[in-house]
Order: sequence, then C-alpha cells, then structure tokens
Amino acid sequence: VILAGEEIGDDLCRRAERVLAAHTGLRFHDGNRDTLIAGLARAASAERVEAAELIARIERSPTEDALQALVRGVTIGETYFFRHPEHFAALREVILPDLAARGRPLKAWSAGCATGEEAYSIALAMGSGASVLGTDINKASLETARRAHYGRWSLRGEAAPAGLVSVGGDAFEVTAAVRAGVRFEYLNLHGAPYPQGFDVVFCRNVLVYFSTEAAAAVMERLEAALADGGWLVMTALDVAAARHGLAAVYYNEVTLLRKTRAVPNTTPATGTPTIARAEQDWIGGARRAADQGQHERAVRLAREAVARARTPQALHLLALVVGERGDRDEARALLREAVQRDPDYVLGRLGLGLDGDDGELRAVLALLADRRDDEILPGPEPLAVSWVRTMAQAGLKRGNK
Amino acid sequence: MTRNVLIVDDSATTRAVVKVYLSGNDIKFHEATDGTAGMAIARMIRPDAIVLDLKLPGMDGLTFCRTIRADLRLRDTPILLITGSKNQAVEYEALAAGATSFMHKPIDGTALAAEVMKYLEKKK
Repeated sequence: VILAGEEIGDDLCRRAERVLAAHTGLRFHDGNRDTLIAGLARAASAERVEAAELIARIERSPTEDALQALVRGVTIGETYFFRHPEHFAALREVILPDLAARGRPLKAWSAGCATGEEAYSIALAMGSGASVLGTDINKASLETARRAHYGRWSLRGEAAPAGLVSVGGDAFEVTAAVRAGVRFEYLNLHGAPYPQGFDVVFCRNVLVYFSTEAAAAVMERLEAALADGGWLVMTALDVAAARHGLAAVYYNEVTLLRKTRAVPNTTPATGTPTIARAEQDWIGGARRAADQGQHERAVRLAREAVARARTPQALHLLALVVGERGDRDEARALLREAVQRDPDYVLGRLGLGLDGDDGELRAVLALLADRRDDEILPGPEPLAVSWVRTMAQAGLKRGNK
Repeated sequence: MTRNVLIVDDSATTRAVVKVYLSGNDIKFHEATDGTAGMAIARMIRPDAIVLDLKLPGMDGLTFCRTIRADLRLRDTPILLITGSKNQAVEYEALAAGATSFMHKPIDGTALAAEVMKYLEKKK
C-alpha cells in the first residue's frame, strides 16, 4: 500500500461497511476498523484513486469491477510462512498422526490462501505425497502464489524452512518438489460450489469477515467439503461459528474441529479384503467397521473381542461403539470395568471424566503428572499425553462453570 | 516476547496501516496523535521502537527525536521518522536530530513494516 495522504475517516468507513455488507457478505465493524482502513487505503492505492472516490463509484453503480477493486484491497490477508505456528504444531502432532492410518495420499485445502504462504506451509508440514489446493477471491494474490517467489518479509525473521531456497538477495523460492504438490484456483467462498473430500482444511481469519448468516453458510459448506474424520483448522474467532457436526478437539491453545463420522444410509458391501483380513484382529476389525459407519457390525465385533478377553482396551472399544449408538449407561459401565481392571488406564478414566466425572479428570491429570508430552497412550484411539492433558483441563473448566 | 511499538501520528489512516501491516508479530501498539502525548507514553512504557511523523501538533517530530536521544532511559530506542516529500535538508536535519531512519511520503506500508521489524529483530 502507498499512503497518498488521504485521511480515511469514520464516515467513509461506515459507507464502505454498507456497500461491502450489501454486495459481498463481508462484514466490518468497530472491532476490525483498522483492517478496513488499511484495506481501503490499499484498494485506493492499487486503483490510483482516492478511497472516497472508490466508494462513491460503487454507491453510484455497484459493478463487478468496482466491487472487485474494493474486495481486493480489504481481503488481502497479511500472511507469511507458518503464521500461527501453534496451528502447524497441532497439524504435525495431532492431525497427521490421526490421518496416518488412512493409507492413501492426503488432501488439504487452504481456503482463503491469499498469496500462498499458508498452502506451501501446509505442504511442507504434510510432506511429499500430500496434495494441497489453495483458493482465494483475489486473483492478483493467486498470481503471486503460483510464482512461489517470496521476500524475506514472508518469513518474518524466521530461518527459511526446508523446501524454500534462496534465489539471491532477500528472495526465496519454493522448491519445484514442494510446488508439485500445490495448486491454486480462484474461488469465492460466498459463491461457487466448493471442492470436496479434504482430510484437512485451513480456513483462518476468513469467517471473521463474513456476516453471521454468511459465516454460518460458509461453515456448513466447509464441513461438507471435509472427508469423514477430516480436520478443520481455524482461528479462535472463527471457531465461534462451529457447527454440531464438528467436534472440538483442544490441543494446547488451539481448538481444532474434527468432522464426526457420518452414518451412511445404506450398509456398504461387506467382505472387502481389508475387513476380511482385519477380522483376525477383533479390535482392529471393530474399529474399522466403526470408521466405515457399520455400527451393528462394529458392536458385534467389539462384543466378540470382549468375550475373548475383558481387557481394558476391548472394554473401552465396546464402550465407544455402544456409546455412539446412544447406550450411555452401558458405555459408562464398560468404562468403569476397564478402569477397575487397570486403575492406570488413562484413556478409560478420561472417557468417564468427559462424561461428567470431574474426579476422573483429576485422576487423569495426576496419572500424567510425570509423563512426557509426546508419549502416546494406548487405547482403541491412542492419544498423545499433551492432548489428553488439555482435554482433561478443558473438561474441568467446563465443569466448574 | 511481546514488544511495544509506539506510533505518534495524527493520521488515523497511517496508524491503522502500521498496525495492520505489523499484525501477527506479537506486538503491542501504543498510539498518540500529538508529540506531547507521545512523549508521555514513551516515558511510561519505554517502547522497543517508535514510528514518528515529522509534522505533529504539539511537540514536532524533530524536537521529539532530540528529547528521546537526551533521555538516558530512552536514548537507544530506534525511531522511524516519516517525513514529507523528499528533501535532503530535512533528511540531514532528521538524522542529526537522532532519527534512526526515515521514510518519505507517500509511505509504502509494506516497506515501513519491514523497517520496524528490522529494528525489533536487532534488539532481540
């Protein structure tokens, strides 16, 4: 942005808010006034007119071109590599281990990717084999993203990560290997159909610019764009719009949203090779069936596993599948038995605790007091110590309200 | 570690752009619209960097620079001075008054943010 000296006052801001809300669903208010002022200055600077003239033009005749000029200015996200490092830590430490079992190349979407730093950062974190789609409403930003050429400023003082090479001076380029897994397309989140089937979607600092209704609609469509069990990464402000089909998972300071598994209307064909093989392993088979939405089958296999040996893990698994069916009393009884058999069975205690027993949550924290953060705790759904601790703390906080 | 940046400028637009372009860097912003208020805030918070307009109501930018440089507790604070259009005499005077660097209007927001970050990184 080049500041030509025009002062953008309250009155102009209010007019800009009105035209943006009316024509684009974008919402600005006193809380993001600075962003609007900087955006207006940017749009004016790019169009080489005064901001007042730009708004007056749209008020006279809201053509697509005039609106785009404004939208381009106010939606250019300030972005850089690994912005919000805590999100990338969560991606590496929670999401990717969870997705590892998929056994197929992973798909990620950077929705509102601006100049591409986020999409490339996701690709770098996910490693080769993953494909990443970046979309934005701003075509100029997409051009920058495709060029994959960045200044030192895009690193904000951090050392260049692997995958970025210096090309002289203060410039960096994303390596061809990383670029091969990333592509960019124009998409207006307020309009066109969304691409589908993503394991991970990053949509950060985007919803906060939509009106409540528009944000709810985007949220619903983002959820639909996720594969079952897929993860949505947003900033705290965006998460406030979360929907029921997305379960919140707390990790350190970050709230991740995970799409709960859909129950298919029809039972998928049984006897596929993977399931046949997995039947050797009752627990594994039941898990897979549950993952595929075959609830009756999952319950049957889990009951067989428990019949063979009443181990804490088998009991826990059965508790999970009957709990998913709505049998909370039976689920609780099974977890109680699991914890009686092995008082140190942390995930069992966590299950009871999250069901409302604060004593169990405190027991979980006590059991984990000396454990390493990255240690993985056994269970039908193994979890990292840090994650369990965070969930227990969140549960206690909720209970105290 | 959160750093404190003081912006002394009577233009709300410039202040907004400085803040937006530096957002996400764990910076706490303090703002003043005139030199006298800016100096009071500087003495109170001892900022890690100052963005300062040359033409200010109250204490002007050059006096502000000299006052900072004469203050034992503040003398090492980097100051980015925003001057009017290019003028060598003004540049010389600005450096003599103690500005760390200066930028001419029209101001490039990205370059300004990069310059402030340079100050903050040096201080780390």
